[in-house]
Amino acid sequence: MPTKVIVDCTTGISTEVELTAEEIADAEASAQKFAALRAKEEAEAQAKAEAKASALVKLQELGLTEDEAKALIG
Amino acid sequence: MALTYETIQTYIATSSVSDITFSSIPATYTDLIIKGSARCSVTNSNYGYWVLTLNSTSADYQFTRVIGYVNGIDSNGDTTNPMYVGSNTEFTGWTSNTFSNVELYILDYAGANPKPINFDGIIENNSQSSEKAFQEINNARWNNTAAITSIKIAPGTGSFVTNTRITLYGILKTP
Repeated sequence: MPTKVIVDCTTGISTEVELTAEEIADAEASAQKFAALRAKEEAEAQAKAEAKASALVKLQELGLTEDEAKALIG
Repeated sequence: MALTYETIQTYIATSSVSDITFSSIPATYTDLIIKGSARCSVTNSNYGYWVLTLNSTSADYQFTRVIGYVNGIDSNGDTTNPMYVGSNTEFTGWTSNTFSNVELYILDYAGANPKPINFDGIIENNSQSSEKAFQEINNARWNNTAAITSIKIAPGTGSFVTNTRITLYGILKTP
């Protein structure tokens, strides 16, 4: 059974307590939520990188050097 | 400049634990600092957040963050309840026996205003192939006027492994 720790800052006593079924269910729900958030972040970062690469190519096709194109799109 | 920088409590995991809560935090300091050296038991870095819950309250959190990856940087912001403050826990499968380095600074934690929180953390993973976050700076806020008396820290899922160490410090700025 997973355990949590409670550190009482007044007494200095640390207590290990087994998680209840409800706490385990909450933790699992939380994990799914955060995994979804992270997946969304990574997808957005990937889309941004791909758009930047595409813009770089198009700017070079217009006659800019790679350095000039990079200076424009950051 | 802090006049005092006192250890309130330190917890060092002697076995895996799902989360660590500092309770009954005295209101006698100006600010709080949490320093952590952590590793968690999961293999997927999508779960490696530090999830922060203040006063057992799952509401009123917001953050903006800047993340440094191997091949670039990214930034975003969100409101999540409870708040995750950085993907800065070492994972199973990453470099053995490495632990992340994390610091949280909570301003005016005992006051009657919303609580600004600074977070920064670094993961050590000795590989150039990973795209996962290596460092993160996070400016957050808990929009709640209650004095903070308890702080719960958990990884996104799984457990903190043995030898994870978290220390709560009290900062006193005035005599």
